[in-house]
Amino acid sequence: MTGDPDRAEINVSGHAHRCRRSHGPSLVGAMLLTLATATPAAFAEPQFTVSGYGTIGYAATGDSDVRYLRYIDRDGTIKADSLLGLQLETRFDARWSATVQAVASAPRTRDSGYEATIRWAFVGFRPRNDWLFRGGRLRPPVLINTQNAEVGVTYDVARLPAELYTLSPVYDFDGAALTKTWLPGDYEVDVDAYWGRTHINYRLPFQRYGPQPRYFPEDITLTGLVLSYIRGPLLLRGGVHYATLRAGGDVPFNQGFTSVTIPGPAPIGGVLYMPSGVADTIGITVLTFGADWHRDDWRITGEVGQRIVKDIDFGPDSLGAYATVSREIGQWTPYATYARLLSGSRPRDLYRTLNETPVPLAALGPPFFLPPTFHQSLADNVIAYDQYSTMLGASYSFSATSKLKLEWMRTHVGLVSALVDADFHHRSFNVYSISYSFAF
Amino acid sequence: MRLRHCETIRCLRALCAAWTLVACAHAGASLVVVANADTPPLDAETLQKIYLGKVVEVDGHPVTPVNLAKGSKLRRVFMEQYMTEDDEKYVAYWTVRRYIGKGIPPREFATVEQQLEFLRATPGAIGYVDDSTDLRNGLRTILRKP
Repeated sequence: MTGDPDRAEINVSGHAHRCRRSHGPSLVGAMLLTLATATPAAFAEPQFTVSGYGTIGYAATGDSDVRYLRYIDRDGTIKADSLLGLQLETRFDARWSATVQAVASAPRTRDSGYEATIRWAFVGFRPRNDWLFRGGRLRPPVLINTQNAEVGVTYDVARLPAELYTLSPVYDFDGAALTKTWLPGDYEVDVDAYWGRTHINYRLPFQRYGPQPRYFPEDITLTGLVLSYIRGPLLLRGGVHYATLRAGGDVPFNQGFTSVTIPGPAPIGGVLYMPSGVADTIGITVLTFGADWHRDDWRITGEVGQRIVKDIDFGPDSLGAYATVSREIGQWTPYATYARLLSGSRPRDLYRTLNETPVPLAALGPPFFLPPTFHQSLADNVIAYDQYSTMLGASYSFSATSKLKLEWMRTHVGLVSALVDADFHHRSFNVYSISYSFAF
Repeated sequence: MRLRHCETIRCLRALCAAWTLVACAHAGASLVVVANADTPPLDAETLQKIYLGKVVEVDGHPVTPVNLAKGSKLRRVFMEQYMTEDDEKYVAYWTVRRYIGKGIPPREFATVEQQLEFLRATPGAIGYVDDSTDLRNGLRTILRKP
């Protein structure tokens, strides 16, 4: 089962860390007003459908000094994967529909507690077979399973590989999307385009020093284009996405670091690094490519994504990828996944330099009065990744809408990983997960 | 051993499906696709695309497919005969499509009578019935598989 239904397992010809935001009600209100005034009443009355989905999941690490993906530690947690979503759909006629979805889950603006939020609220207009327009609150179609990432029953792995699925911190946006479809024969081509805005609180990495954890407010404008090609059991999908980030609070983005040489013999003198320059906006380009292929009981899925950040030195410039091989054996689907996430050389070199350079003793006194851990504190702010994971797991499908999953994952952190809350380097840890996903 | 067990289950399922089809045929219960009288005739491929949400209009006429509720015998036969797929995969397909925001699965009706009432009242509505069903006014057969 896959995230894109267009590569359907229905075999017919022509086939088939994020954070949260505060949204203003204006767009949703305008959307509802549009609906109220513009929909033809082809149905005798609008048709309402309530559906939903959920996951009850438990995950724990085998190590006491690591916390992964905000919540997963040795004590175990249900917060990493558990959630409940409710969706109300209204169909006005064959062309117009509206969808609202609320989700209760771990919060995206802080680490503690829970939250219930409106994640989707959009109007869909399908004037013809080959066009679909949507406006309102939507999810960006970044990766194959991005849009249905929270609907655990739609895929077999216990958790989508964080090495790639943390590529975009944007969960949803207020804006518009269009889909153009070509169905020329035994294949299908789709182009998805979107544009919108959102406000998020980006969780900065936490390792050793400073207040923890920290969320940085950002206003984001994003746009993207995704091309999909589906032929029989093969799906190919590539995308180009561009986001402009503007600091959402009073604090602008730090651009980089500058070095000051304090005269004197080491360890009294030496190089002192200080933050330098500010940027009001940051541009991030994301390139994605994915493929999914299945034959008989076998399925192979692979995706790669690159995040290109040029405006600041310690941004999340990185390359991530994974490959999953699975086989359906009756109701069981065992799988193996390998995933890798590696920052660009610039943030990794910066992290290494800051981490390994001692603060000159002269800087501990006047006029600087810096703590001896100053450089490491700066290093903690560098969003750097160097990790890979191997996952072995299986899902048991009770039905198309009910699935039990088990997974063992071993993750190795090299230089550092911003996904890990710990002073954790060149070591590995295990994560054990069990979850039950359903839809109704 | 487990593999053999799974194959056995598969064979049993296939036999059950085949038996259902044979039973329907013997009972004179072949399934036909019916629609509101305004709906143009369809070919089998177009019908599949309509039920997968890939086609929403035929010759400029908006179409609205409907289904009987999951578990219905007629629905199972429809999936086998016309969609050439089992119902579980069809449900899985729509679960994904619904939650990526690209469509809403066909509306479901608990009974054939409720379905027929909707078909009569809704231009472009498409459903399926046993071919012995009296369609009366407002409906027409748009596809019948030999």
